[in-house]
Amino acid sequence: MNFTVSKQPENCLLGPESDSQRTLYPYVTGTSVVALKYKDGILMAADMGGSYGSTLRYKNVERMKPIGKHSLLGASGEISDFQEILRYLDDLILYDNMWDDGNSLGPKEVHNYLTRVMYNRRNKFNPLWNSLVLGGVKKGEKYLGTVSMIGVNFEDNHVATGFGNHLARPILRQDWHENLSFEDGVKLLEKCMRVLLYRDRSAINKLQIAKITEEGVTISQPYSLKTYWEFSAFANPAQGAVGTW
Amino acid sequence: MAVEQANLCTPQDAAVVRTLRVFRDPHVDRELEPATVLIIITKHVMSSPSLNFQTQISGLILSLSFSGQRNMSNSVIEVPPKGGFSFDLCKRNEMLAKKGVNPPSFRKTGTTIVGLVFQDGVILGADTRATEGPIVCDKNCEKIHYMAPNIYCCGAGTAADTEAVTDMVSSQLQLHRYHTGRESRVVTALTLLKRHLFNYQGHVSAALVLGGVDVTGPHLHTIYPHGSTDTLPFATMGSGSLAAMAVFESKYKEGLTRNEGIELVTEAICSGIFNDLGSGSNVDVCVITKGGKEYLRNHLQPNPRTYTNSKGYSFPKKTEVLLTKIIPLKEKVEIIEGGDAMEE
Repeated sequence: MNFTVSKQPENCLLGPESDSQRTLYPYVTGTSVVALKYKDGILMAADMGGSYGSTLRYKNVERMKPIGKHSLLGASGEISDFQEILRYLDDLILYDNMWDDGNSLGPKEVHNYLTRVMYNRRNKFNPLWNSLVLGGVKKGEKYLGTVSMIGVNFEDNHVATGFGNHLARPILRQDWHENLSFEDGVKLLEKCMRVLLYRDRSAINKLQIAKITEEGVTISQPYSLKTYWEFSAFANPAQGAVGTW
Repeated sequence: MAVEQANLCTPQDAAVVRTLRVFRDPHVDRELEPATVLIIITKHVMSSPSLNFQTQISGLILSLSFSGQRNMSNSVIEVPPKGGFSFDLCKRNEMLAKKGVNPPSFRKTGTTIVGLVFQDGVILGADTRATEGPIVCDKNCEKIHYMAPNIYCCGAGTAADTEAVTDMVSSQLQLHRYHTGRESRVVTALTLLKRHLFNYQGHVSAALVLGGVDVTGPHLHTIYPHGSTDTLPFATMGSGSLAAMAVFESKYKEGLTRNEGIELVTEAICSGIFNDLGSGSNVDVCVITKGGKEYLRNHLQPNPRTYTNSKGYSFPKKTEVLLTKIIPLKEKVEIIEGGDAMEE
């Protein structure tokens, strides 16, 4: 009788798997990140929740971090993989600084590096379970790109990960225009984050907004959005149809 | 019967034959139906995982099928039909799907449907694209179905299911109106629909947005394929529901006027049309108030056919006609006038 239980399906081509540790599913996850280009640079928003399955385990997770002098990285998905990516980028930036040649890695370069890393990991069937948003400004040129866990990358005027793709992107497609002011950009981001708060079950009402311009990166203190629950129809929804809900 | 003729090598096979012999009804002189044998054998196969047994059984089944075809006509079990679905073939379908034989895909209305309660009543909106997998099979279908003069219902999911279910409940409502002599109420339609859908346990794949105005006021409900319902001031369903909900959540307020409501509904449907691949083409709107209803078919057409030549296309003649000559066909058979040969 055979006691070892193999997790592979019969027609799998992956080879002997007894002690490999590929990522099969994420554990602690962050929800969507939304970002857009505005007049002076990039604005990015993400909430501070880290969910452990259906529990809201961590409420103080910073999912946006500055990278070098010119970039800002936001991540959704597995938090531990995000921390690993930060380590890789730390090494990358350090190596770049050691050259001390007056040149520094801009957002386009960092985005390319991340794309290569994510795609290579996916090819080995051991992905970094993240959807990343990379924004930055270098020499007046604004750049905003995204990389998914399978290596799909592209650059656009506004990007979102996860649920943000379904709920925030339609709003951004309608209301975004070139040369948004800072206030308008923040208002638009807040509009998107509010809809996400209402309709994404893993979103929490504690978010940060980060801004990157030629001068540098500013990540705001955590704050919460005002929500409205006073529609009279929600007060007693079944009053016209007793017995339903 | 072929069962006895099959090659039996293992004790498990003998057990199957024993069961089959017992199962044959001694009082009625007829042979076992192949289908019955199959069910018994399958049950045995499921419970015993040994590989040998399975290969023997496949040989058994093959020999069964041949004899079965000759006997099919005279062995029909008379059982009164039970209501609802018969789930007998589910195991067979699972087995076939594993082998790669998938059932054909249904015509779905990958859709955006929305409903909104405004000051004086209810506004329903829908897109007009019907899809068959990746193909658009109907560019301008009608997703807002009539239920009663004061109640309309938008449907998402399998097109046949939404049509059939709304038609059925609509006729039930009509009969009820004749019986009671009163205007139909939205909760009546709601209850009829949800009872039917729950009965079929989600297999009738119809997700509906039901809206109407009756004596008790304006009502808007969503009904899910498994039979649960919600009562809401604004609702969206279908594959484009998230895109439409994003618009509603950011722009809805109470006490909307008629024009504001129509504009918001149109915006939500357009958001679905342009951001969701399952929705497209035109926007249908239906406004229901106490006074009556207004069905605005193709209220907005944001996807017109561009680049069509209004004068039609005239293809240049490429081949010149040099000569026209008509050669009459040679008569092979002489035709005699007034032939009566056939008439006798």
